[in-house]
Amino acid sequence: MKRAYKILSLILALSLLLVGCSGQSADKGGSEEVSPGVPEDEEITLRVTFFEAGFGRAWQEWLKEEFEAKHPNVTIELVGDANLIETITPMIESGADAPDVFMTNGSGWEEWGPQGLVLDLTSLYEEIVPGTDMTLNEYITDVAKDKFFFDLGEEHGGVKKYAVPWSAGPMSVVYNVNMFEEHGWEYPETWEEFEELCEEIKAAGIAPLTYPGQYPNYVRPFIRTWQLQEMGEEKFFGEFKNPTSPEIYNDPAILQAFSKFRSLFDNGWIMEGTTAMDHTQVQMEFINNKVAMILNGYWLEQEMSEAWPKGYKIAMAPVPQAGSIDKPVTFLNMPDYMAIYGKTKHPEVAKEFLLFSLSPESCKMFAKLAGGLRPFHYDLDDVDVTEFTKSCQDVIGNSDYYQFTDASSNPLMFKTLGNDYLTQIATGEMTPEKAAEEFYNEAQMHYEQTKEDLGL
Amino acid sequence: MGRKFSKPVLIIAEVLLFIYAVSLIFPYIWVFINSFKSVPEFYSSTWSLPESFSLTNYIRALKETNMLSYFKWSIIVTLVGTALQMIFSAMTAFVLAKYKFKGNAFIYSCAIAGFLIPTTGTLAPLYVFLKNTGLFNIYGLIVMYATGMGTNMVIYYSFFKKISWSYAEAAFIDGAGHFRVFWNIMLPMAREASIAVGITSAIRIWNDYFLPSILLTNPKVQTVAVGLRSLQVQQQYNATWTVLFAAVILATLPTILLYIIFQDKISKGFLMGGLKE
Amino acid sequence: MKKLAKAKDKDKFNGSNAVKLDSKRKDRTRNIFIFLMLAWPILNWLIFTFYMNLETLAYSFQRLNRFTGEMRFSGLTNYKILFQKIINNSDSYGTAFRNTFLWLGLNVLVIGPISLVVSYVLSKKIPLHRFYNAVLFIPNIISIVILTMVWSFIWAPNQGIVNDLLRMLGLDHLTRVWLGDPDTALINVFIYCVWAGIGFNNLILSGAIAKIPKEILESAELDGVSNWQEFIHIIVPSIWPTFATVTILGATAAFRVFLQPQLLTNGQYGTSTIALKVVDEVLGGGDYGLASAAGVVMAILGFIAVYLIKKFLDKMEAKWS
Repeated sequence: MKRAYKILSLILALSLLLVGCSGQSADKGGSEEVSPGVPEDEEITLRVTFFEAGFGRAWQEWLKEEFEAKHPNVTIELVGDANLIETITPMIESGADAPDVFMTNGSGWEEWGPQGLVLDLTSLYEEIVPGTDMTLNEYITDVAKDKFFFDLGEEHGGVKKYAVPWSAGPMSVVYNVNMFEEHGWEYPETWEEFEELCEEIKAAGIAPLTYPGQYPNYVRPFIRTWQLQEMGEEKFFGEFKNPTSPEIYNDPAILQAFSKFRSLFDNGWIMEGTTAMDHTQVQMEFINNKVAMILNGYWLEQEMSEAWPKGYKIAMAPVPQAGSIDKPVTFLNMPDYMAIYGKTKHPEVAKEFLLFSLSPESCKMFAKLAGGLRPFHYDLDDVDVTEFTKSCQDVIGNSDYYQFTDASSNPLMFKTLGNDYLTQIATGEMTPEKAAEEFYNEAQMHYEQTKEDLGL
Repeated sequence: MGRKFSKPVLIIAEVLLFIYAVSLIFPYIWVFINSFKSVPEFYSSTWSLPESFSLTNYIRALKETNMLSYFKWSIIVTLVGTALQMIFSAMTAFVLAKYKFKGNAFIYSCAIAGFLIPTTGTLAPLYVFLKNTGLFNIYGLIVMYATGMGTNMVIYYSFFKKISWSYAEAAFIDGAGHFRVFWNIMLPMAREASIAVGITSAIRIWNDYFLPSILLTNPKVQTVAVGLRSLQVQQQYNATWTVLFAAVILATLPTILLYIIFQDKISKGFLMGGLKE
Repeated sequence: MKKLAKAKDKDKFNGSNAVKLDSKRKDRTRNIFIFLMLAWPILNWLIFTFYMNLETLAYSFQRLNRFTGEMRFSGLTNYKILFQKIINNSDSYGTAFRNTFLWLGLNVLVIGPISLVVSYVLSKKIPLHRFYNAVLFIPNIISIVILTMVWSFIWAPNQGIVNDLLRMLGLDHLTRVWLGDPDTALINVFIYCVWAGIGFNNLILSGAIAKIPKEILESAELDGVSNWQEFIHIIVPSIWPTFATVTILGATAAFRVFLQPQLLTNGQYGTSTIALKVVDEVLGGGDYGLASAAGVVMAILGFIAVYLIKKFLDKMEAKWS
């Protein structure tokens, strides 16, 4: 029965061979530059996959319609996916069901860019944006450059651009205007006043503040602002966002922010039950007048579009002034991006589509249809938007406020907010001191590993 | 039967079991009732009866969520996956149980060892393997279900062991080949094993969440379990709980109905599946 | 039976009346048949079981470079990091590690025995026993996604069934954020596992109890044994092999638990397990090396634990037989 053995070993060898070969199939591709312009003689289908969540899909439908009208030979296949944050990685890295253009949340492109899995868009940034006389390099706001101008260092080709911003806007405190008016409260300028206000609200038998406890990322505007206020501009932008050593992550500001977060609970300002709730649940409490203020983003109104009662009035407000920054602070959130799959068959069409989606007209439609804002130089003067969207715009456009983002393209920055720690601080499982210590440990490891990975 | 319980013991047992049984059923009734409410109605009271038994949520669940497509893919995956699992398990079990050759016992122990090792830890290479082979799709899922050396094989194995070889001999004399003996004679005689394996595999595949959630990246190709989960995630972005309730009822109803009809067969199948070795 | 089949096997294929050449040809078709029948199942096993396990071991000594997508040898670094994380409880690794063993205890010492008692009670054909048997099994035919969803409706803080009931009874002070409070979350997930886990064991154990010869139970009844004595001295020893199987299955399952905490609490509030950490590292962070090291450690510990439990169960069985 030697044969059976031979056959077995043959199968084994075959399977190992199969496995071994397959390891090499994820090679670089699509990194070569393609000349722009949409061919008009062939039928082209462009698959556009997008994270279908707070912004709905109305804007994408509009894009499809307009783009197809302009390019009759192109069909846009829209794929909305609420799970895209999880599925985009296997899609891009394996090519299965891969889109041509995708709009999602996160920063996967930072890793896929150097591997050629998303298209290098550096040349796209040189092109004139339709409906303007600016190149994309000029059209994009400075704050957004912090994230999308990806500096790999001279020996790796300098500044690269692998993605364009999809949406960006303020994340901060949203308050119930009606309730504030009723009680004669006013949204404060300084943190001290904010603390007094919280006591007042608490005395009135209402919970002052909440946030989606299951997703501590919503506390980001507070944590990052506090870190900025404590460290000061120079340290925050010079070291924290562009570290030269991991020591910056041991700064007292880290512990201070964690402690301040804990004090919100110790003072009884956070609505009871917050830690267990997801965004819908806390937002529902906010809508039902159970809590006066909520940490949230500019998508809040759209996200809960089905639930608002008649005559509701809410507004976005900055994080109150404290420490070394002399104005109230607005935190800009911009995790959403658009990119092109590296192995797309239609790079020119995809680029054309991307450019088209950036035009001021398209951005206005985005505000109108999805209640979203984008980090480009365009204005919403002639667009009919809601009071809330106006307040969001005001918060980022008002020169009385200090604006910043923690988004960074520097791979050495330890970008983790510390969600796990925040949950555990909130529930009392971990002290702020321990959290700060752990944060530093993790940051150190991240710094060393990234340096090694980049060959620095 | 043995000794009967005394009255107090019996009452305690009845009360506890009744509470437990109600806790298993009542949530579905609660979900069912609330599935007819509008979102504001649900938030104002979760215990009142709905104002009207309108089917709005059900229509929305069907229209907005690809519910029908989830069902289609679940049925396809379950049918194909179960069939392959049955065939390959029967094939392996038949050869191992009825043919003497070198390595026979070794293969059998490999199979046993394979499902005794905790496997969650191997996710990383599996993920990389799928990435490199591009198997993040329905084919990959089917390939992974098409096992022939799992618990199902053991059930078939014990059955084939019990079937006398004389039937096969008679067939061989009539000129039948090995495969015909397997397919036309032995497999039909292991009918009971086939029913057990078929039912348990089908339920397991129908309910599986983890593998399809990893493998099926295309939102247009999702099974009911994965689709419902993404519905639950989506619900967090648009707060339509009641539509989710309707979807839950839609997804559960067929299984429950089948269970009521085939309860004995299903229990028997699981009994056999659980009693391997 | 086995011997008989083999003997007949021999008769058939080495029959003395067959011509030598003919027998050789028959041997070949027989071998081809065996090969064809086993080809796919073995290939599938080699890839998805053998290779994956081997590769996990290899990965546990490597680290992924995020910028090039390559795995590179890194010695024992992953194990070092893993143990550091467990000891410092960073990223809740310590909790996850502890929980895996708590789950082992839950499956072996709580769910198994409770199931046994339930099966015993139901074997008495008490009123409604058919109904109970049918209902208890429902969690096994419904997807865990739906089960956990329904469970979270029950325990939701604001519109949930339990808190609403407590409020209706005027027990507002007892309402809790059940799944979002580190004091109650893990217990709640455990209760879920009991709630959903008894049915299957009950089915298996009931089957075993039903097979106990009636005479034994009847003669015991005539001897006037109490229910407790009957349970301990007759039922438990008679079905011990089945109970041992149920226990071993529960013990191995404890090292794979991750869906329950993942779907109920996202692994937060002190409910994570090592298996969930592996899943999170692979799908979330992409740290394949650390995930594999955790997988290897878990496999080894799991093997030791299951082996010891099996030893103990066998010893008990030997005592009774």
